[in-house]
Amino acid sequence: MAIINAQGREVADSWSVSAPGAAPAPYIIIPLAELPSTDSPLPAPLGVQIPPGAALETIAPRLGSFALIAIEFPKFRDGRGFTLARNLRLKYGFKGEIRAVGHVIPDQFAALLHCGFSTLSTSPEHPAAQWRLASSTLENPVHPGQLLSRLMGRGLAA
Amino acid sequence: MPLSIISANRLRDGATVWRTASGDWAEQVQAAGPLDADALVIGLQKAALQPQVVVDVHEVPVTLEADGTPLPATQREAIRADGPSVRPDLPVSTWGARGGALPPLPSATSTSPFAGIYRYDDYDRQFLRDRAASFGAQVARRLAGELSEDEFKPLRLMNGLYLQLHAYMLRVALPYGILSASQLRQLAYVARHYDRGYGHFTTRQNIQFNWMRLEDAPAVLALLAEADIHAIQTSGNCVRNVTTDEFAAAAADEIVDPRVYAEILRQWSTDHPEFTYLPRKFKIAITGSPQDRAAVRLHDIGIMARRNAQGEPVFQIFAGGGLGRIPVIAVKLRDELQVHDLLRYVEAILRVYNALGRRDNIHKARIKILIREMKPEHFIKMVEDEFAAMLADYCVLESDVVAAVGARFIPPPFETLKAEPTEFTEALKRDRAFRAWVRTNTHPHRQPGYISAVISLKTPGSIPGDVKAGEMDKIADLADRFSFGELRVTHQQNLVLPHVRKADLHVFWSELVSLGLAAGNIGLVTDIIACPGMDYCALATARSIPVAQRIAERFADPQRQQDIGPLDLNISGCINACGHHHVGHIGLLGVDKSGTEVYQITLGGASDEKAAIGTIIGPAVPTEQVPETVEKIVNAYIAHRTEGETFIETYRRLGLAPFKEAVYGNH
Repeated sequence: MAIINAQGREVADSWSVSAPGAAPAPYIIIPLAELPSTDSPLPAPLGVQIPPGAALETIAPRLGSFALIAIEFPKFRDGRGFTLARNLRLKYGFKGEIRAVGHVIPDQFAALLHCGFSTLSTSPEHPAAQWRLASSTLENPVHPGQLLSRLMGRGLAA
Repeated sequence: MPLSIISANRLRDGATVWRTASGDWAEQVQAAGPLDADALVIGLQKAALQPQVVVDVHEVPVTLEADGTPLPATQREAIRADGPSVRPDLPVSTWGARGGALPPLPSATSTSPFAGIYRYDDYDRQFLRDRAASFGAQVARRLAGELSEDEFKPLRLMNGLYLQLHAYMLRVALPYGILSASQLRQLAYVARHYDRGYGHFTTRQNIQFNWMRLEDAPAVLALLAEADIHAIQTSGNCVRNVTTDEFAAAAADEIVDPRVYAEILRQWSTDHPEFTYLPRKFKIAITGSPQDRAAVRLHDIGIMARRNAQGEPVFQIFAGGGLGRIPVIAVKLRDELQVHDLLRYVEAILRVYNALGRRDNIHKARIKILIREMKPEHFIKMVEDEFAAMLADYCVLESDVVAAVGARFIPPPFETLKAEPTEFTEALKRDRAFRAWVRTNTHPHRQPGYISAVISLKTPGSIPGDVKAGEMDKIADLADRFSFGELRVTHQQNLVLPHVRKADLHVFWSELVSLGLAAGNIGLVTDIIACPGMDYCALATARSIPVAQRIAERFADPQRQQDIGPLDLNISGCINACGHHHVGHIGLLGVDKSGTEVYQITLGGASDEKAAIGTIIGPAVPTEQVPETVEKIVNAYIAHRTEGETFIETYRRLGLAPFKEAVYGNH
């Protein structure tokens, strides 16, 4: 499992996913369900992993505690993660790292970036080399995302 | 002992194949090796190890003929083995490889500079070329095993490519149903050289090719790109081709030009990063006039132009309409949405749907189910909250964008003409057949001296919506000669020449007569909407086309059709309702009842501004009795109608009872 950045390159990763029941520590990604209650102090930097059906309004007050939010993709066809990332960026102004974890395919690379993802975690079926290839097609300046973005410009950007 | 054979479609071309005793794949069912239950399990396991050779591996129960030839037990498998039952001239076995050099593309020499299509520039064209190339790379990765079929399927669907019974099917977008003569020639070229000589116009204003090979599809998309045509998002769980009314920018009663907003929505939805993996497909329709000719209340989002108290154009917004197994009329979300908020509001609706729409059950995944389950008022509140929370400058549709898109639609160079030229009025007086055709097959034009003319693709006995390559070329010539090179496709599966000079109309009609395309039946009982049915579609449970043909033949007499008057008869071959049976004045739904086709009849549906879902009249009737039953219903209408009353008006006045009596009573 490798971590791919927005340029399609494999990067070193300082984060690890918390073991079940383990106490929060710096550079640990905790599943949302295991996050301690709001009154206990949290280590920093801290990551949280949210399921695709997460209700952002319930975690919105705590967004400042997170340096990384990992969004789960149970299947690549489940597009809820795209809306979660967009809302994190546009509605809640989240500035930290947003990472796609689970089943995503290189053909979704551009869409992930446009929705505000910064990194993704690869699966065995789609190793790092395939993402490097996907990123090379992004360098084509003709495709800034939606076809309409030429006319709308930054009005559509996340 | 029950016997089975193993069948599949070949990955690279979609051809139907059967597994032989030696483990090869043969193109003829006769070569299949019959298997008992134990051998079947082993055979299926072995076939499953060949995902780069075959797809959709499945068992087919068979009986054996006297000479040992396996005979598929179900109608669907018989059709897969023999070819479409409605096209005995197209047996599966003669579908061979294409060979030899192809002639130059029509787009190299044929232009239709005045057609009212959205005019591409190099950027738009390069976008399509890149898209075709990127699909070519995806196909290569699939063939190489880098992408699984499960991963590849949504990607090919988003490029319009389905796997059906006999082959892949390519659905090509005709955005908002408008195309140029030059584009129609390019489509004829595809039909002739990459398919089996014809295409099928659909109820969503698209065209489908039924015999496409996967390995050819990227080349076909590339050559379509040269004529500014694409197949992007004609399938898949994304925002589909935006539809509008077929008389757009020609109708006399229009408030805004719906083509401009449909094109903006097309560009906005194309490769939308957030809404490409929705719970289910998503259909948007827009109509530019207060009379709904685009069935907006039967779409996931329906948009209707109107004027506010200050006389400015605004949009009425509906959501959650649709047909399918649970037909629903849309709820109204906004009475007056400002033009600059159009994309923001549509995004808000889609964002709520993408986050909350059901993904656990494909039959409950459409937005209409979400709205029903969470109650319309709660859904509307969530959309309004989402809309209110958007950044002020996000996705605002500024007037310069509207103007820039609008400028790409070149107004036809209309001449200043007399409203009622003598050639036209004289021909009407002189020629009774012409007069009858004009009454049904034309629509008023806002430009004096012009008229919109409909070419019926429903000549009684023909397959609704099918056009041969040669006919496409001839119709393209007519469009160049009579209508500034412009055509429209209607959701009733007919073609329109939108801007014909009235003075030329008789000459045009005479040309149609010589081509055998002058059926004067638009809006009448033989103008039947029918889905492709089990002969082509993997989902269908019944063959709708033969039923449409038999009904049309029974009512073929033009005088009789005129006497019956306006009547929408729609047929679907399964509950997914591609034939819009729910909104036919008479609707027919084909279902499988223990191995035989029967048809459920509904009455009273409508897709106009009085949109309504039809009511089931009683028990389903066997296929062979459908034409006679329709006749009984029509006769009951004639017996009960008052002076000048149409079928649907009589139904609305009297309800089901007299029709029920006519069909099921003791006579």
